[in-house]
Amino acid sequence: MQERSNYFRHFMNSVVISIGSTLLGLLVAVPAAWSMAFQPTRRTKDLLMWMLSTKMMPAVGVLIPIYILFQRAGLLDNRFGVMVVLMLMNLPIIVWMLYTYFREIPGEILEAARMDGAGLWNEIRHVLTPMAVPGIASTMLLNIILAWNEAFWTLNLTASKAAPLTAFIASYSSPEGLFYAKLSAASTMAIAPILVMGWFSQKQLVRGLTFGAVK
Amino acid sequence: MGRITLENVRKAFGDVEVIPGVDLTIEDGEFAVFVGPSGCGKSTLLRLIAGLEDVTSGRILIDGQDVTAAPPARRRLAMVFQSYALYPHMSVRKNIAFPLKMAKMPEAEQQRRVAKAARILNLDSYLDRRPGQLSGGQRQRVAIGRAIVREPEAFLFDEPLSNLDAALRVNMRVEISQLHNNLKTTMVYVTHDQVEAMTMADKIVVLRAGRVEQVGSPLALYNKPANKFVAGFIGSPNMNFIDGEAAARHGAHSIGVRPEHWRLSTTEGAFAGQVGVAEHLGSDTFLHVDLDGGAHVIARASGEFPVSHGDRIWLTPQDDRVYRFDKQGLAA
Ligand SMILES: Nc1ncnc2c1ncn2[C@@H]1O[C@H](COP(=O)(O)OP(=O)(O)O)[C@@H](O)[C@H]1O
Ligand SMILES: [Mg+2]
Repeated sequence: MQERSNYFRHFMNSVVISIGSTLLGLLVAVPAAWSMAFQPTRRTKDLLMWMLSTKMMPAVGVLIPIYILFQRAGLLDNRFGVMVVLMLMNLPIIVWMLYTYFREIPGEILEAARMDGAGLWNEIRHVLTPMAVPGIASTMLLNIILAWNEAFWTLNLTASKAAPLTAFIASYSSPEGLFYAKLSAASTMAIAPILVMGWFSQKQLVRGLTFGAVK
Repeated sequence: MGRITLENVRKAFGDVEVIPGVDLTIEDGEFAVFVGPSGCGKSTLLRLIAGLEDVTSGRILIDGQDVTAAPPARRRLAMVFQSYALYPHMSVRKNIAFPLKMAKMPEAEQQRRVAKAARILNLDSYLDRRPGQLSGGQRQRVAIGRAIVREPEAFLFDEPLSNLDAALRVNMRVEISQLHNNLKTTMVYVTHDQVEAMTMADKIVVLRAGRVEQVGSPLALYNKPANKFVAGFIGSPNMNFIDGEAAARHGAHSIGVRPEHWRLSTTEGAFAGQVGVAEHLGSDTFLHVDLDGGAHVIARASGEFPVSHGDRIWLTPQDDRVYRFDKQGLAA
């Protein structure tokens, strides 16, 4: 009984953290990818490479500074704090994905809209957004999955109040020993929601990931 | 009305000056063609008129009104792009109606105009399809439909036929010319294909490296090219140029003779040579001839002309069909 209510608390934390970090990420990444795709400068390629290179660094290297920062700011075991960290960790991937999608939108189509009398707002509303939606949707899905399964930061920065399902699983591996049966049950319950979501959106996901490859 | 005037229009991308300065007037109702080799700045010039690029200096006027700083939407021009640039997520009907929707035209009037355009362009049965489900020629028609519904001051075309196969290209060429005859709206058409220019234009603007080399009617350019570049560019196959002593005899640095202006003989003439390749088309015969002086020329005979590879042949330019050029390549 006790553990069931725990599951729902962790489940809600997982939902809030993964969706929250994704929305937060899109808020930053859409304008960033936008300007890089449509107003590139000579440095844009370097910038993209640099962003990706941050993903090649082991996360543990920045654990101590971030932990201390979070401690000072009172963000330890705080859902918003985890959201921000996961957003930052996944940001390079979101920006890269969106950048590639936006690059697929031919500039001439936007110019055609301008010739057809569309101002900036109508261009965004009637032409850009409908063409970018599949890309944004699949980026969102992928990011939710990444955030849902993220274990390193969630384990290190949460204790109980803000702990998502990954921490719930880990709680069954304690100094007193491994509780295999409960561990397996918890793992299954942790991946079930994302599995169901992935199943329903697989068409969208595959379309998104191969967008441009097959026109 | 759609009179377009360019006053000393310059365009540079960074340090690269693409259009060094163009003065040009396109009269209302005229079919003007910008022609020139690839990379000479035709598209850039068209995009400057459209407002898709900002001029570096100079002025652009439409019907006397200065539109240099106006955004594309304010210039009341319609453009047909090389890639067609249709909206892939909209039906053909919505694509064509889009500019009307942007102009906030009443729905009923929108539908009336779309139906009319569809009738003119034979698109009636495709109105509910997406662009992805159409052939290249149909997409081109949709792009034209989207341009004509607005009844713009002028149409701008950027190499609209270059993605079509040869047969379709000839058909569309005729259709666009008919469209111009019916609408009598100013059209500015960009192409690298001098045949398109010759067959469609009222006025041809020949460009080289961003400069206007010559402006005139197709036949004016054919008969009186201002320089060697225009002479070589207009006409197909290209004009033959001969330098040296033969040219000096005509009092010029270099002379040009069009392939269709040779008189051919198997016995005598001004220039002797040997047939390299003979192309027998039935209606015409094209002979690639290596002249004894070393020059290589092409000659066209109307109908059949029974010679083949290796035969001796004599060529004589028709009277007053010799174009003379001075050292700078200007017509003398
Ligand atoms: N946006 C741009 N930035 C830099 N250079 C450009 C740009 N657009 C065109 N150019 C250059 O301007 C020249 C003319 O291009 P363009 O007008 O497209 O030629 P055309 O249409 O006659 O083939 C080319 O050398 C091209 O590289
Ligand atoms: Mg071009």
